Amino acid sequence: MKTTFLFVARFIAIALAIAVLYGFQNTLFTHLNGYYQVIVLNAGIAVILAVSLNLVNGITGQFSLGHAGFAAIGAYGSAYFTKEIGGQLLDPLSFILGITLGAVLAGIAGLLVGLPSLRLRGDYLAIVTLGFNQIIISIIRNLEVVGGAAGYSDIPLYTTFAWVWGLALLCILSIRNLAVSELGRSMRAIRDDEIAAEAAGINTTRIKVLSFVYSAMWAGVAGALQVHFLQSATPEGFTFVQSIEVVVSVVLGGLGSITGSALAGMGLTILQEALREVPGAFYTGVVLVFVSFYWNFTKLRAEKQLNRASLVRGIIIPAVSLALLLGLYFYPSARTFLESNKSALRYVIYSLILIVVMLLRPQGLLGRREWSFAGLQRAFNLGSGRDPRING
Amino acid sequence: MEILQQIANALTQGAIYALIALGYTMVYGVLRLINFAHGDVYMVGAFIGLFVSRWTGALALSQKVDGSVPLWMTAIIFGGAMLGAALLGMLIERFAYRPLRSAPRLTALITAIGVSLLLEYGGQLVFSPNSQGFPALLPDKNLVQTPSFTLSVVQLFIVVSAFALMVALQFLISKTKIGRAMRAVSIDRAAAQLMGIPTDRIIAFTFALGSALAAAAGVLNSIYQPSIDPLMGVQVGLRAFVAAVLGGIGSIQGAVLGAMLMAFAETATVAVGLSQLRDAVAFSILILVLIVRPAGLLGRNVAEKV
Amino acid sequence: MNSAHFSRRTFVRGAAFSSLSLMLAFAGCKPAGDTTTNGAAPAGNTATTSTETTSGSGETIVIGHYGSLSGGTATFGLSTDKGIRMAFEEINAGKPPLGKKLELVSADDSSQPAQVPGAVQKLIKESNATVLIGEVASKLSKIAAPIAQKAGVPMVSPASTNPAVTQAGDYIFRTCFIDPFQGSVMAKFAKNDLKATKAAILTDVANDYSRGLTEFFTAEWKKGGGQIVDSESYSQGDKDFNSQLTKIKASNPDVIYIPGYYNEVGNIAVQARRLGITQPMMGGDGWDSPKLFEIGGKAVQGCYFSNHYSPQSQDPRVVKFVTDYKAKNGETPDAMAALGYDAAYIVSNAIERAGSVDKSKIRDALATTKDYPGVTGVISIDKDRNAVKSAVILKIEGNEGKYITTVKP
Repeated sequence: MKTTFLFVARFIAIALAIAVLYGFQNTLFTHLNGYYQVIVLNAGIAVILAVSLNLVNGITGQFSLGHAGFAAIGAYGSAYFTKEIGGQLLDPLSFILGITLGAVLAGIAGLLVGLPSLRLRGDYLAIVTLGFNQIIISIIRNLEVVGGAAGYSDIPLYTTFAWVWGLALLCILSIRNLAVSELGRSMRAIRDDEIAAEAAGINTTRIKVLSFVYSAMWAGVAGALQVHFLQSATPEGFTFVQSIEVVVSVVLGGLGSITGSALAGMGLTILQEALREVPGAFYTGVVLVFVSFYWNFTKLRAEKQLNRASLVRGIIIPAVSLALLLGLYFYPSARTFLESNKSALRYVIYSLILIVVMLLRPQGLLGRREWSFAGLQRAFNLGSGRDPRING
Repeated sequence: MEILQQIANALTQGAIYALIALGYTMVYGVLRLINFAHGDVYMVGAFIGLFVSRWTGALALSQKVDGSVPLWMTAIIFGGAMLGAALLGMLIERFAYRPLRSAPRLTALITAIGVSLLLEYGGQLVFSPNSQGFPALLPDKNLVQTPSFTLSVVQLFIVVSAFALMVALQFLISKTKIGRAMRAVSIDRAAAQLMGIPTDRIIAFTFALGSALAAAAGVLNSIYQPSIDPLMGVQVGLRAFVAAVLGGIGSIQGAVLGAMLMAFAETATVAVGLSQLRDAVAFSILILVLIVRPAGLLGRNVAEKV
Repeated sequence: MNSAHFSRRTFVRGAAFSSLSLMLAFAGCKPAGDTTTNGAAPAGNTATTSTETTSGSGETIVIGHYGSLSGGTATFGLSTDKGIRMAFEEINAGKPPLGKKLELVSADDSSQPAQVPGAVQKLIKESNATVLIGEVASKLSKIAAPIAQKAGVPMVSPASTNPAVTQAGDYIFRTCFIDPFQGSVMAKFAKNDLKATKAAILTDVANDYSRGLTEFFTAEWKKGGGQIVDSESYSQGDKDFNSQLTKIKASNPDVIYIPGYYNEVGNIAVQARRLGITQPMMGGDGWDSPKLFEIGGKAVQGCYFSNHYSPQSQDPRVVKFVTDYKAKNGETPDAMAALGYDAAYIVSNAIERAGSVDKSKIRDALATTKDYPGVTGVISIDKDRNAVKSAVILKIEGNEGKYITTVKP
């Protein structure tokens, strides 16, 4: 009785979610200006990439550095299908089959990469996944059927808001469900202590490969969404530089926190756009100063004592940074310099933010915490009080 | 004879990879950290070399028709680049890595990526993204010149000086007090600290040493291949890192062996006519080696503690 | 290990809430007033004639330049930007089209494919660009072209040489020549003037420009009865070419064709000469940069490359361009700067002839560009919206390319 009810409830929830997404698609989203549409779509794709990598890097505790390689396989696989074969089919069917094919191919590649992970750990695994990424790119460059180095263009434009965010939500939900299931507990057991996990009867080999394959499949989906939006796939879009970008989102959000990965994926996409212009960079800087001040402030309160180091960290550094920001922004010749060098400065600031955030929050923005209404309530009631249920 | 030429090519390239790989492997030894910024320290080393050669007038001299750079200038340029890079390495360690000693390792890795991006894009801002010419600090002459085999002064100098540096490093690590301290830190940092070894200073010294070697590689390589730009460290850094892992990261001899293997594999790929698959072949070899020997060729296979 | 203990429902709500708030945040950023075509809905390549009012104030006309201003190919994007900027300054100081000043807004794509849509949409929607100028790299232009086409904004690529770029639609133009022409020019020159029969090729496999030139050079070379004795490759960013060059040397060619960019060509030349390769090397417009002489020095002497123009030309336009550019930027212009400069002038000229800032009229004017006397040659736009112009062949002597001959299309 209860299960039937749950089933129906779930069904209704999914139907409702699809309806809401389509609602957004045809109301809010179409009224957004094209530039913001691009950001919203890019953010959704970044969410899928970050959340799916979190399954391997955060939840299972392995270290993959080749996520973009799987995305490349999904991208090229799906694009080849929709362009060469799917054209005869109806739009949504062709895209659905394309995405599925991309995900399956990426999953197979994940299996291939997952197998060596049985023997390797830590940095060695990282370098092997990175190596796979480079090999995949090198092969694609020489694969003339998909355009080789010149890229594969004239891919149909299928990706819409509903597709991206529908799949992003599905990705978040399914990985979150996986994480709290028995499988997920096994994964976290492997992360925390592989030998103990094995001693407890967990088939670590199976679990690790499974997590690799599932993560790769979602990377493939993200790749498929991206190329059906760009209408063109290039080897340069999927190199280890992009893989590193995904790892950055995962660690920045908090290894193991799905909410954190999703927020960091969105946040970094928006940040990259915000840093395009000097005012955007300025406001980002101001926000960062206040956030870092808040972090240090809560830390100070928890320590209940004031020493020189905490004073410097908590008060003097934020104050000096704020003064510096204001000075740069309002002093005319400094402003001119910033304006004329804004494109090179963009990534200088981006990398500085990365370093500063990591120094201030080594555990990532959310640590291993997840978002919940209960947590929100507590945050308002108890300030920085720690929730015993939250993992330490 | 073509084979002989290819061996000479591979040896030269391998020597340069080895000098960079040593930095990766030493830092990994003491901190268990992949120092992603190392390839960019190599780039900064080359640019410091360019600035010093502008300042000493070596650049102007080398551009004259029959000008040659005196040896003392070359020495100053090498010294300046190595010193500057050593300082940079220590700065990076002090401000980006030391505060994260007790943090999760991936956190330090992301900081390293941040430093790497900072150096690359900061380099584009300061040096401009254009490629720049590096002065020929050594006479551009061939020692051996037959129709099918040439050996240039530059090549010989690179191989000889790289090996001299490596021997010096080996001596430093195995015979001196500071080397013993480095080894102690790399085996067990906490225990080393308890024995009264100033671990922070040893780690800083390791960074300085690794960065100086990278700068030496940067200048050597720029004499050999005179186009330098702010992103020049990305490719070479990646390959040297792979070489370090291949040889067994944390092992000095392993880094040299891995670098040579990497260079020979790349050269062989080209020699058999598969030049467009150079990357794929190099990485396939890496993966195969790691599957057979998971800790690299000379890496210590640490027994798992229960 | 308790992180699993939040309920599923809260999480669904949480995810829905966060995406909703994100949407709202964006909606709040920009009033949902302008009638955009849905950037994400499937649609063909038909241009929707834009009914939007362009360039808000009417005092200036905004021209958007998207390019690689940072990242891997920043050197080309920045040169192009400097060329465009100088052209606009000249135009604004003189007689701007329709009496309105031209305003250049640049957007950086960081040399990354995924960043192109953001940069282009920002120019179209945020800056209200009337015309787009951009990308050097063909594969990035190919991403931007459908966006510009659908938005009905004319796009002029100053330097994308891949034939497919302008096939995206009737709003996409280019002001440089295409790979088939440049590849065959060099093949003909080597055969007729250098009397070569055996060629070796060194291609940058990661670069579609280099691959394109190789393809068309090879086709023309074989058609003329020539022989390709060796074909080697490298990837953008490589520094060591000794092993490839050793193979090339062993194949004993008459000429070596290296259709790459100057930063790699400089290294290649130095290494080739050190290996005892004395044959002339040849390349395309990617060689054109003062940096080539700085890096390559003695090694590039006596080499040939095809180019758009000769900086030594006595043509007053070229002389003025080169001296002004040197005075303004402190360096000799490279090919990208010259191409950007010409693209900017052609756009300005088209706006003038269109007599309005209506994008479809500007498009029509661009399509009828005929015999425009640019720095990089006399430019006409053909029916495929490609530039028809002649190429020159330069021989490197000292620190400059000496004019050898002109090849007409």
